[in-house]
Amino acid sequence: MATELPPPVEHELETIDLNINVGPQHPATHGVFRMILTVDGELVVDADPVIGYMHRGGEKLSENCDYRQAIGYQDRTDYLAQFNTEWTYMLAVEKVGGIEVPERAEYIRVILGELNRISSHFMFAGAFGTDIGLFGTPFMYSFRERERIQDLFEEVTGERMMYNYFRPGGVAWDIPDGFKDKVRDVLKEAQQGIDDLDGLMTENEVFLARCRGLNPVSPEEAINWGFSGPMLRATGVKHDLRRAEPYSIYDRFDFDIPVGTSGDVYDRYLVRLEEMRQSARIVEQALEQIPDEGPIMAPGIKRVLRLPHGEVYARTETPRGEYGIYLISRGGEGPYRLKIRSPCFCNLSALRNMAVGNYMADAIIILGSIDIVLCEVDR
Amino acid sequence: MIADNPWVDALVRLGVLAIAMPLIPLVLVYLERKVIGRIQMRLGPMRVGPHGTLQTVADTIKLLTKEDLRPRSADRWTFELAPFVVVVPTLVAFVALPFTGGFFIRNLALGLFFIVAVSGLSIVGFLMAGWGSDNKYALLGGARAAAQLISYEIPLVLAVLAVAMIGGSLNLEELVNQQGRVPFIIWQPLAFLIFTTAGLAEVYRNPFDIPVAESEVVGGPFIEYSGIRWSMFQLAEYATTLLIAVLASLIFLGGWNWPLGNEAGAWLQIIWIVLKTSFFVLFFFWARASLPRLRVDQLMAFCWQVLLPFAFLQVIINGLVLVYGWPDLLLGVFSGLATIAAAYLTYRSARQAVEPYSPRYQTVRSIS
Amino acid sequence: MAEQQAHPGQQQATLVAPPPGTVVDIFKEVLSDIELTPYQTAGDVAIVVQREDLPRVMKTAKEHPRLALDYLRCLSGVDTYKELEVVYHLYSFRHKHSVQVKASCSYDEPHMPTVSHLWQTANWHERETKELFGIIFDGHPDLRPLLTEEGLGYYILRKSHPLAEIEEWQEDYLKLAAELEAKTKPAAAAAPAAPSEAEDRAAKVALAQKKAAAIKKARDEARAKGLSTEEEKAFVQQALRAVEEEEAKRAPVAASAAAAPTPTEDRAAKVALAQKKAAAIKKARDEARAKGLSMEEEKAFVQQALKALEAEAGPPPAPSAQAQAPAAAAAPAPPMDRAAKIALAQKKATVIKKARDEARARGMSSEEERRFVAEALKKFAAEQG
Repeated sequence: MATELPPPVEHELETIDLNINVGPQHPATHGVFRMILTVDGELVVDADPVIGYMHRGGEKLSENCDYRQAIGYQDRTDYLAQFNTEWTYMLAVEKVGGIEVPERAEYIRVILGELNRISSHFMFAGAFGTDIGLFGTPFMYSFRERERIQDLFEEVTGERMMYNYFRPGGVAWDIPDGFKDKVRDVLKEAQQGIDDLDGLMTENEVFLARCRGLNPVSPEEAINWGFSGPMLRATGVKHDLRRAEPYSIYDRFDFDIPVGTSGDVYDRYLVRLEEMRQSARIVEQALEQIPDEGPIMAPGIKRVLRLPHGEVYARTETPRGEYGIYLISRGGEGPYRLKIRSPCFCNLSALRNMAVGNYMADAIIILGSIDIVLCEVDR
Repeated sequence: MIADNPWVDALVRLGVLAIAMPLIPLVLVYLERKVIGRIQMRLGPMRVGPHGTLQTVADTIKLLTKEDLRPRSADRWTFELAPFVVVVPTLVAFVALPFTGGFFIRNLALGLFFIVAVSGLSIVGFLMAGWGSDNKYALLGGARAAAQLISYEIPLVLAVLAVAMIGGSLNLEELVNQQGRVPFIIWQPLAFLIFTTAGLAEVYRNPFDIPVAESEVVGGPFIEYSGIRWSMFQLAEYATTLLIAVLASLIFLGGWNWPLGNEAGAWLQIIWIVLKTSFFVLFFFWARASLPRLRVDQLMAFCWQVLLPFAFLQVIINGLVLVYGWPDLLLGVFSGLATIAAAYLTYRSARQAVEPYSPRYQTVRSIS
Repeated sequence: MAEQQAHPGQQQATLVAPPPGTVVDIFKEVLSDIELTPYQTAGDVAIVVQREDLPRVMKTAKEHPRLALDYLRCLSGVDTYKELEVVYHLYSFRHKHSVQVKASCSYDEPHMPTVSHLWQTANWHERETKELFGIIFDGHPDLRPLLTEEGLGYYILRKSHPLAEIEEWQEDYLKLAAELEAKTKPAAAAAPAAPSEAEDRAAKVALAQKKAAAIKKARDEARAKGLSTEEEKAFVQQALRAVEEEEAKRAPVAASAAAAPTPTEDRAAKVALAQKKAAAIKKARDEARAKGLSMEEEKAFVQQALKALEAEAGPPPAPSAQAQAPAAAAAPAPPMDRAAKIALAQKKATVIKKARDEARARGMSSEEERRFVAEALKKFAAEQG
């Protein structure tokens, strides 16, 4: 049951490569994504990804809004890690404007951002398990925990998705009373959920046979292809923006960074699973350190914010990798240019290199292991 | 005997089968959804009927009233006949399957052989479905299905052959009668394991469901079918599941005979058969909920490089014991040793092919 | 960088030099013969290079051991109103420093050398920049559009492509400008090259934006003052005229653009007049009914009120700042007496009504209807002499 490929068969028959359209409507492609595979029997000879089905022109629309209105567009790029994307945008705005965020707001941001990372990785585990062929069991396990976390988010922001909660200079309103205890309860359940998933998948022989040794990526290749996040860390590059270029208050927390060795699909899964545990650690520390009361918004921030001239490339570590916002401000009420550097876009651009030479079913698994969110790829 | 005239008798029995057969998926699908739901920490169907018991009835009504689509460029006869070619052999195989001493349609002398041979005809139906759908996914799925089903027939047949060697007959009723004292599983554990695994593959269920999970979940050769035709494929799948389960409980677990003996009342025998069959059926559901699917080449490798040699080994052991007239105990001992060896070797190769898996990631504190 | 007060949003800040000890120093050492303009952004350090030096700079940046910028984080295009810019964000895993490199190209010649042979991630980034800005990357293996469909025909993220708010205005201007251009420059009408139009468009966009801003301001002022609807309209028209005069003074070339709003302005004036008349008619009719006049007497009464109104309003307001007025009433009409004027106005009203009904029967959109009515009026005026 090796996952090494047999040598290519030389046919005496004349064979034609089959063009298969893993089309935009497909249960396994995590969104509206099209991949044109050219298969020789079962081996993928060429893979041509076609994206753009979710392109809504978020960058152009953001130029038309002022800084507060554009927060909504950031929600709608990576809809599984929205607090993280909002956070990046806030970082950009605050850097250009020289705005300082008060302590309590920073802690709230960290708690919500890390909880969002946990729920996003749960989603990954569920979807990835389904790709592998587990008939929905990891999906059910992970969605239980996701629902709990989303209940928490609903308490704070009023929404299950599209939170629109961060503001330049802080957060929109304070967290409700009793929130800290609820978060602690949810963390306990989440740990149990992580252990369930771990027990189901990590040492499952069939899972190992499918994923172990599939599509190993070397660190040089990963850096050249522009990987970031768990894809990059699985290859062995010790790079996490929370440690390499610390933003917000991450230097106050004590957490480890899981780093893989071979960059194959199994390592990516392991790295994400461990990241969930580390995020839970961060949340617990943040809950202890958060000041009980304090301002949640920097003073003197107007509703219609006018930033001075300037530009910045702000980046944070979202569950999928390095999410960057390149913001150019020319003194107006809204951004002059807002470029979104989405991690899935860069990770996905290497799909052709990764999928060619593997079996067709493995191409689907590789796609699942990149953990793409099409709205982020297409913006 | 229900009637004196053999023709009327046969017709009545066939009538019973024809009515009971389509009801089997109703029960099995409901059971599957409930069992898998419980494994996944949820309740399964609960609303339609008390505890969701009428769920499959509702689903069947929905399927029966759906539009019967046919792609315009599909090869008409191939496409439309394929479901029948898949279902009919399975139903025909039930003709030779005895549920209890008197509860069968025909007690063929070649019963076991008949069942295995006829159920192998369904493979043609898959190829017809795959080709006739004029769809690349269906084609790939049909090709995979054909490869898998044909390959896994061989260990299945060999395991059945091993049992036939021990029982000395191909008549199912006689085989069951021979297990009055000890069920064949004690003498043939290796054949039992091989039969169960190959049977799981014959029904293309997890972890062997790669034909039906073409590019994961799109449905393989069934992709273009809707309504009744698709539900016929489902009928075939669950009927085959039941067939394998009943067959396994008959030839390995002693059927209705062990441990109560042939004299126990018919109802008790039926209950025993049902219990043993449910054991297998539940095991199949459990496997579906817990195991991801194997890739095609891993599937083929597993069949030809693992199951087949061990099946041959079992047959050789049987042959040696029979020819040299060794006592049955030796048969059990050898088979047991062979089973342990097989299990160990399989386990080791599974682990070895993918290097030691102890956490191959490190957690670092700092980036530098 | 000098500041140009050309249009709003076009101002660029003065650039701050980066502090010593950053990666810029290494750049300067290693590439001492290349002209680099460093400055400090709110995050990383940025270096502006010339497009011709870009391949060499990028190659050195990636391969030189002291720079080792092996990670291309982001590649974005920017449409400053003067030129198209490409910004590269680079990071080095070995030395942990990051830098921004900028290079620009003009609208007329939007070519940039590719870096996809150095960093493979640039492949998709450059495809995206090409389809959103129109910058062609020389040497790129495959410049198909990534996010939008093929053959879109315009570049979305350029500033000349309309934002949602002023789209209607812009469409009018762009169409008129295109027509005028086609009339005056038939030779250059061949290439649909977006770059050469872009500048005009940018100017028009800016003008449109200014007008929109002026209108908004004037409207708010008028509302704050509590003027009635007609007065508010007049106020707004005044503000618009002021903006146009300013534009005409500043850039005589923009006169063609200034001529464009004439139809709109005329129309607005006519609408105001017509509304005044309608109000007078209504008032007169109510009075007459209150007095209990018969039908004939009521009609006469209303006509009298109209006459009074005409006497008040005086000659219709002349459109302003017309350098090249298109075929409007070219020759100044001889001073007509009042009755003749009224008759003329009534005839025009019937012509307008007929044209409007016809247009509505044909099912035209409001734009087409307006144009149709204007044409009918023109024909009528030509007939009159």
